[in-house]
Amino acid sequence: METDLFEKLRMELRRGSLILAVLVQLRSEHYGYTLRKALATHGLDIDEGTLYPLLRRLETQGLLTSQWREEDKRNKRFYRLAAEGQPILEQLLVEWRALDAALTSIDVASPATPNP
Amino acid sequence: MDLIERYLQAVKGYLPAGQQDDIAAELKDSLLSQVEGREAELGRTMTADECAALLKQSGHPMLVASRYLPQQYLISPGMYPFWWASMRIMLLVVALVYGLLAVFSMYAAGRSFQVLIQSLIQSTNGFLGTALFYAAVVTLVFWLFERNQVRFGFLDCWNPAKLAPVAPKQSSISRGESLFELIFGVLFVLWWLGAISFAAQFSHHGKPVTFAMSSAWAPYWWPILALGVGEIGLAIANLISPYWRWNRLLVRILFNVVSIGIAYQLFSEETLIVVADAAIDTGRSAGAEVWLNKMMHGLLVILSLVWLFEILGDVRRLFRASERT
Repeated sequence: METDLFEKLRMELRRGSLILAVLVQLRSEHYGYTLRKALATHGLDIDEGTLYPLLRRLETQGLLTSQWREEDKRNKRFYRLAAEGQPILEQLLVEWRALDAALTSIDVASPATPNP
Repeated sequence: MDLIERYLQAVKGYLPAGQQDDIAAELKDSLLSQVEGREAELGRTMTADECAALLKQSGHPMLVASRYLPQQYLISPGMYPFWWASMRIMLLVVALVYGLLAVFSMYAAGRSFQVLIQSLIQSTNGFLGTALFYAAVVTLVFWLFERNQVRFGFLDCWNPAKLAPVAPKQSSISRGESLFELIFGVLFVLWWLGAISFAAQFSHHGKPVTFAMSSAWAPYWWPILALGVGEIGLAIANLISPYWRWNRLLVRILFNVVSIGIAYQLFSEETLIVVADAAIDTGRSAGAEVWLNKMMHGLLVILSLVWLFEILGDVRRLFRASERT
């Protein structure tokens, strides 16, 4: 029960962060598999069932561009941050840092106390 | 690799035609890249079982395809409360209509138990069929709202000052109770007006006895009709706004005081019910009439006590309301 609740809250917490991480990582070009590997290297695991639909959604929203190209004798779809996505990413990063700072400040001001 | 092709074919089956090839091509590359990665780790070719395990880990084809579809729900969480409220109103109306129809069918069935059961089954079937149909219609309408991003104007144009004042729990009125009062009130008024009639018969010493109201009720015909109509109005008001307000409490106290007054007047009459059956002999007829009138006098006492308790409860609610203000 407690684990289920934690998992649900963790998923909610991750949802917005994943978009940000994908946009940041796609400042350099990647196709799905290498993007997933690159994110995992930095400690952010994401399953392909979440990643590929997310990439398509971000492309539809104009934040990413994609291109089919042959590499290693196979057609791959390469993604990168679109020019229109750049300023939005910067704004989102500002927002993220402000949120992180606010949360840290709140946590410091109200430290966790053990149950009586 | 045959498994991957079969998997992709299954995924494509759940995708819109225009996107099938594009999504499948990307998925194929992802799966093949994973196979290559795994084979590089193992230093050998993957077996069919290992490949099946990888596909299973990717998810059921329907689930994988569903993640690419634009809308993942019929009614969104934001729209759900309005959908549920509409469903409840619809069910209430259908239940009311079929409840009345059931009563009419029961009346029409007369004394035949078989016909009575048949009419009850028919009414229940009718209710279930109609409720299911309208549930589908309501859901379809809300699905269209959802798809077209319809916004309800009243969500933006509302006035907090017009919200109902804070009411304690004792002031709330059960909607089920109000619904019952409404159905009963409508049936009573229809019967009082003569629009419907019930079998005024009972068995006395094995013979059917027909009875009717005596002339003692005549002076009270209009006041009782007015009370019946008033009770219907009160039940409708309670159904719409299920909280006791001082004005409605005063109206109910008035209704109950008048009801007790009429009951008191009627109680003083010796004959309220007359047996109108020439088929049984005079002695038995007189015995049946006495028995019926005793029952009616008893019923008037019980009803008066119920009304009296309601008056006391309402007066207490009024005092509490005045203390709060």
